[in-house]
Amino acid sequence: MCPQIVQAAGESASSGEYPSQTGGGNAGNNQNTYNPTETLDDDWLLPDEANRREDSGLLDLTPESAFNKMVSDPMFRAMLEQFLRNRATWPDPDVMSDKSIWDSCMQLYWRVKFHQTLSAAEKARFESSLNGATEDKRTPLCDHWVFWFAPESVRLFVLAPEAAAEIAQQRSARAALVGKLASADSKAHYRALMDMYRSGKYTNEMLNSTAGVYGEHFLAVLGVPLKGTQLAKEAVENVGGLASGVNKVDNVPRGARGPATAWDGFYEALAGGPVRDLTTGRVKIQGNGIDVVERHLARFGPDKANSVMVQRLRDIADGKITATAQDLNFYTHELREFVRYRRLGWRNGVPGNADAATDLWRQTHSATLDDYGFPLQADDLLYHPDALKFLWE
Amino acid sequence: MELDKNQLVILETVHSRNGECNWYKVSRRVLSLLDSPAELKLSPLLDAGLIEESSLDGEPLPRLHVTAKGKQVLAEQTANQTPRA
Repeated sequence: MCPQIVQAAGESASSGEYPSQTGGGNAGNNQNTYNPTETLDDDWLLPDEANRREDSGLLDLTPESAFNKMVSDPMFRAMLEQFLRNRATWPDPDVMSDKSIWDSCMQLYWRVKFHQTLSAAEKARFESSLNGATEDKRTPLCDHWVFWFAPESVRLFVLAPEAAAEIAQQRSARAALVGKLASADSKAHYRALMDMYRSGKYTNEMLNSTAGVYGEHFLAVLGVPLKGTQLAKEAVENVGGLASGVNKVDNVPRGARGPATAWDGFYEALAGGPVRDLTTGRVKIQGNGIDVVERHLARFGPDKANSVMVQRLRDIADGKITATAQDLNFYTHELREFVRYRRLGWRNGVPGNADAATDLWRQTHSATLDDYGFPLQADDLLYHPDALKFLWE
Repeated sequence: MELDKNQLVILETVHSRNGECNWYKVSRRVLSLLDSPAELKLSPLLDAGLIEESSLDGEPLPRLHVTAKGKQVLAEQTANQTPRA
């Protein structure tokens, strides 16, 4: 991504977090220290990843050693646990067997950690190392134990007994947990309020009477320092009667995660990095940025609503029309989402497996919504009315 | 066959644009309608044979169709939810 585009997305070009396109991210820093031909065949890496590798150390090991090192990595264990908990709607969420979970987790781990794509050959080698086991093997990887059954390599994930009670408690206390998280940051309060207000769950009357589950937070929301900010404008426009009370404090807390990512299963590592606190304030819609947006959207196939928005961006760049809030929001959202996809190794295309593809999208999409302080239901914030009518066509 | 509320939302959504949608369009449509984004999974419906994918030349994502079995399940679930007079 060129510097202009990075700046257009509300990021600093010199932050170091978003590497240049040719550099290939952190991988580029270590290109000279790793020679894959010393120990491994080229088929360990897909061709398009060959110039983006990082000196992971794992690739210098035998498949068996690399496998053991991978499964001992806390990051991998955390990811696996996240995958497993995402399957909590299974008939028996605590005992499950699904080869795809392991494969998806392994693939994603390599993408997130090493910016590499596991080739079919590489996966096969891991499979081979698993098949080498002569008897059933139990591995307490995370809160789940994983049982390996050779030679079919069937994986049976069983919730460790000591974790069961804790997880049950977490599930039952989820609402309270969300409330506690919100309490930690008044901006999150505000976002929670706006999310509920937009979704029609709370009317002005209810807000004013501070009724409802989140009622105790609403008074705190009134203290959110909104004067002169985009949030203040939204509050005045959307919350009406509450607006008179919103200008009481001077400092806006920054960097909190809001409702778009306040769901079990969201994981910043799976979303291409931490949620940031970005604005569209100094964004200029430019041709090269639109090219990136168009390329990013192409991976999702033909879409009338997206096409209308891209054409609007082109018209704005050509000076034919003036940018609306939705145009700026759409532009920055798609650029930022692209950055997240790219950081996860998906410069182009999507995973072939439908669940992996949807997981990649929901993680990056909700994180990007949160980057700009939007709730999950943000269609009317991202799409101009001319495009909104085509959203489901 | 019993579907949970979230799977039913997804199945109904696919059915409403049967053969004219892919996972991206469906996901964008239902993300905020589900109990949680974590409920956004197509594999239970695919594995149960209620929806299926078909590739179309020139499109990067397969299109989604509700199968005959899926339509039957949908009709049953809808009937069960309709209040009787």
